[in-house]
Amino acid sequence: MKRKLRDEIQSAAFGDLEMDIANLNADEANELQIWQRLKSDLHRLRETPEPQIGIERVRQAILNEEIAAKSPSSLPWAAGIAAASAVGAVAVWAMLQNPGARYSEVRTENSASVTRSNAAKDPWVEKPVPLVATNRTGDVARSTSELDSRSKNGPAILSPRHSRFNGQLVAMRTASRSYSQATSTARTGEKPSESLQPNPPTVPVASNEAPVVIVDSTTDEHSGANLATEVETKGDIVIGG
Amino acid sequence: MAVSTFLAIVGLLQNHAAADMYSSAWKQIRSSLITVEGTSGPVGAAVLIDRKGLFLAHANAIPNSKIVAKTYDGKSIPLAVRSVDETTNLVLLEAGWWRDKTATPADVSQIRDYSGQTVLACLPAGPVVGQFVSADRVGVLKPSLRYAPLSEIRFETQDNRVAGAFVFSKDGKLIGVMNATLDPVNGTKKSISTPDAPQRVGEATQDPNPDFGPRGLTVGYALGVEILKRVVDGFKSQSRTVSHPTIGCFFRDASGRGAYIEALLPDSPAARGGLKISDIVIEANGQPIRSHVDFAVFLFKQSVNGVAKLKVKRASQEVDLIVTIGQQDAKSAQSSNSDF
Repeated sequence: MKRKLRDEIQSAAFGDLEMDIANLNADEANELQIWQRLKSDLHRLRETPEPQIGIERVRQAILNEEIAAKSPSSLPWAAGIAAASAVGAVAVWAMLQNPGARYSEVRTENSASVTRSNAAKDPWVEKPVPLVATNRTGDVARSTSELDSRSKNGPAILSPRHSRFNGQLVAMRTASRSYSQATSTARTGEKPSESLQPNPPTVPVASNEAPVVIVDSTTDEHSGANLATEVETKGDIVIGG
Repeated sequence: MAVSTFLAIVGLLQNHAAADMYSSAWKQIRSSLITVEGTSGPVGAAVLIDRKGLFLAHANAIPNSKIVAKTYDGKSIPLAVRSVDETTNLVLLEAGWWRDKTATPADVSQIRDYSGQTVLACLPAGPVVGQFVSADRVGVLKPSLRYAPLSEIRFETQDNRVAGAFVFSKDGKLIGVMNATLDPVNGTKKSISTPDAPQRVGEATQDPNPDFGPRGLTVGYALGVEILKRVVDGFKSQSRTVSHPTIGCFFRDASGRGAYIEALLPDSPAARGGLKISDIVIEANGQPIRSHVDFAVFLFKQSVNGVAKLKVKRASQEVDLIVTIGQQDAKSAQSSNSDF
């Protein structure tokens, strides 16, 4: 279908042009019906003035909306750069105020580069002590930590990704514990201020709910520490005292 | 772009602040730590507990041969074993010479909950950051089967040489000594059979070698600060020995009704106090005893020569008993200076 004919059909459907329907073939008549149905649907919309239900007016209305919507939301890109520069300047100034503790003193695991044999010489005195190790199954694992040559004063730090992951786990456990405390508080009628402290200044007492850890006298060949087994059901465990 | 730049800078500053905090803690504690040297490098760590040159170490971190350690600034010092606490496997070492008057002995006085916080663990290969999970783990130490409060600490590090590592809080307080790591093969079980209960054998619930997921996480257990404080106080005493309270009995859970007495040592405080096999302890010093864990925790908190008033269920009767708390035998390794 030619563009001109399609425009005429659309105009006819919206009442902007008179057209002899008898001259249209089946496809053209179908097209006209679609546009007429669209017009009737637009009529059903509330608060739609009759003069706007014309193809040109609709087009103009859409164009006006688009232009009007764009203009107030955009800031000049230069303003963004200026803001970023200002923030960066403030950050650099803040870091320079504390020269004793540079970020570079403690680095994350990704910069590990020295082998473990170097660490074995004198880890706390000499230079970088990175740990490029294997896990217990013997697989080559990712490097985990290192002490930078300038960081013998500082420990290695967990990678942000896993710190966050572990932190979430612990946060979930803490939240769960807080919920349990809150529930028991509601039951016992204790004062919430006493029982809902996130970190009370006492060590949590081993409870019947906590898992039992059996520490064997044999040692793990990799860790050098005693082997431990965590047991959920502790009824069979004999304890001496 | 501005937002991402801002977030990057905020992240950098946060990391910078964390590094500063750990560095400050490390500076505070490093002078009190020494590395115990093996034939091929450091095998363990020891921490100063007294200005006279007394050091605390874990037996797993001590080589059998002559003990030589290095200070943080590279000086070598000879060490000799002065006492061993067989319950915890902690060892008292004495330096052949110790002139560093600036080193501050480790502070084990702070008893509080560090759950969810990051801590510093001083491994033989240097300090790393770990995640303190919880201090409420019920530790049962073989072969004595004694209860000891344990703290679960997880490390992302795969350098598994954590035996005897000292755990410090971010403010430089000594809060634990690494005692064990989760068994990589049979680490977690639904239940377990002890030699006394062979009829119920559980199944492992955790695949020790998962095909996917985070790997290399080291789950370690540290002796809690309460027992650590007891050991340090004992080692610093004149006798150089640790007094663990005991009444000389073994018990298991009585299905939530108390602690079922399984065995008694002959002539033990429990036997002398009238406790018998098959008794169920349901109350101690007025506290209800719901399980064997409750009873173990109760006994742990008693003092040597103290008195425990026990209410036990015997057949269908309730009997009141008075048991004097005894002391577990401690081993002292008195030796001469020629051991250095």
